[in-house]
Amino acid sequence: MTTKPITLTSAISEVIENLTMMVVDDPETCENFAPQLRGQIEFTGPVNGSLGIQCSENLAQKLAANLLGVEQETMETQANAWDALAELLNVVCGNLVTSLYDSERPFNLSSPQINVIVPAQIDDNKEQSYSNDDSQRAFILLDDEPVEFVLSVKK
Amino acid sequence: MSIDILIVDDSITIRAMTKKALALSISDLGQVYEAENGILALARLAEKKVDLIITDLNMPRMDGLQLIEKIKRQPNLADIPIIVVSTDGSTERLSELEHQGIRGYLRKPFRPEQLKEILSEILETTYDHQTHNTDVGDF
Ligand SMILES: [Mg+2]
Repeated sequence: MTTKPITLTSAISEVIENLTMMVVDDPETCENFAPQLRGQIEFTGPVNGSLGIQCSENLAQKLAANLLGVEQETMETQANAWDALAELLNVVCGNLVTSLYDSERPFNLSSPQINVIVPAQIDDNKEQSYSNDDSQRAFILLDDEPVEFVLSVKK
Repeated sequence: MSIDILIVDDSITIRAMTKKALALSISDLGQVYEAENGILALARLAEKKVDLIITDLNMPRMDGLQLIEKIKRQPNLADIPIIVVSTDGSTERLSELEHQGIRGYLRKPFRPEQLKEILSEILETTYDHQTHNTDVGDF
């Protein structure tokens, strides 16, 4: 079974628009994208694979403030921002796998993991992902901040 | 009567969003307890029974399915209405949950008014309790 690249970005955008009150746009370019955070969630079931996310720390904070309905400046801890990003990944992944692959049989999702990107890792990761034929990428702008999703399927 | 509720979800963000939606939906909301997984939820229920449980499925240590199974096996807890809030919307999972006797299901992402709708139906039929008539709007 293969992924459908045309619907990946729209499927992701739809879920995010329903979850948050944030504006989702298509970026004109993804040059100079320097994410600080990376998240990953694995799925098993009718299809096995993973969904990754990369974005800035500021975007994660904006997201948490949006979901919690508070001002970004009043956000207390980094933990809230990371939790919000993890839940975004969980919700996007859970909706994606049913809409792209199978809406009848259940998928099991792992706990999403969020990590800080060490600058040296950025290029390594790109190479790693591009070398996987079944990786699909989706770039979106969330409140003017770039966010990248990478959907990888295990054969 | 005031309605005490237990929210079970490993995401602090979702627990906070749900708590907010509850405050907007239930006129006589009592205590709202939180637990981040099934084990902590059972520990909370052993201390204090609640009137309604809202639980996630995908959680570490003990997931929502295991939690529901354990609650349904305990005669003093089995009658507590359970609402499941999850990203899993597959037809097989839904029929499994229905079989386990859950009272409501909401797929993430959800809007506060969707939770209110389910709550008003359950609270009215179980406790003859009215929810707010006002429009809950968005978060
Ligand atoms: Mg969860």
